[in-house]
Amino acid sequence: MPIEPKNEDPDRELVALAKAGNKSSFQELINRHYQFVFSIAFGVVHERQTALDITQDVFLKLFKDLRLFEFKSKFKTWLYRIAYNASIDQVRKIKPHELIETNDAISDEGTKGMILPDLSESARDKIFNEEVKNQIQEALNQLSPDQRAILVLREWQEMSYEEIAQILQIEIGTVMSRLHYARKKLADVLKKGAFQDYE
Amino acid sequence: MNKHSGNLLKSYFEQEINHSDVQKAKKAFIHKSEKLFSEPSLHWIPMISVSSIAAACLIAVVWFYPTTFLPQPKPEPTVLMSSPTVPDGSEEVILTPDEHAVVVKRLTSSVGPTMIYQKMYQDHPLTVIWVFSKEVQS
Repeated sequence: MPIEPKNEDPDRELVALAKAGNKSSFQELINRHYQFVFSIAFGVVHERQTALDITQDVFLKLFKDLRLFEFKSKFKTWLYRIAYNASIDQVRKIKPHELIETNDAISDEGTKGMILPDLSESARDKIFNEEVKNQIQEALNQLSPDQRAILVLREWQEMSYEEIAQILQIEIGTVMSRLHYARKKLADVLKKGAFQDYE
Repeated sequence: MNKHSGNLLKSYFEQEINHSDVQKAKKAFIHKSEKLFSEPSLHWIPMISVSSIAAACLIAVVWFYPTTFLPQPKPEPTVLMSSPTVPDGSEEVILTPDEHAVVVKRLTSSVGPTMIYQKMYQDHPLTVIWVFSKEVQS
């Protein structure tokens, strides 16, 4: 794994202060990375409440283990690796049928009260509705946790293959192949459903 | 997956990640993190691993374990045997292989008067003991 230059880590100063016990620096780290950690957890477990629980656990673990961080990699990479491992551990605990049931419950509950952001600025946002959302949920449910995690990191966080490889601790070639397979499978599922109208 | 479906997937993730529940949870957790610093925590002090504590306890127990608690070997049953005894005040003679002189020493024994006679060790590495009965002595 290539080690990135230490001076390129935007969190370096905050982390150093937080390691020294500075409360506000630690809270700023939470503020900066909370949603990214959540996105990884959500990508893996694909269920909101479970992902929120995992996110909280990850930051508690961060509080406990921050002193062990030695700036050998970017803080973000280190934190996301913790998040990914915690999420995978959670998936192993939950039986598959329980996860699917929870997803259905959340899906019904979530779409009723969901406030969609103002999407009028782009065409893709205009066509995004609940029907398509459900279709995407269904498609994502057919992917493995690893594949969903890679999709989140690449499609939403727009991370490079190298960054994803570092977080997941796999080879770049493996990242590319998993991503290719995940995209293909997702496209196949979407083509069969309501999404085909928008092709 | 074309660009269009990729954009839709991105929108889906954005909606979920920016959901109000997530925002609320984030604020609540930041607020809750105050307690992490206010509580006396052992996390910031140098950690002594549990295994090292356990090892220290084990060493202490082994070191200070009273020997009286250890199982003692049972004493062998005593067998009454006759053995020559050196009379009080007599000088003990140590016979070594290098001595060429013949040494004779009078001793007493529970079975009667005895005499130990030893020749040169190299030739006769044996101790011959005569026992003289009272009848012979008289």
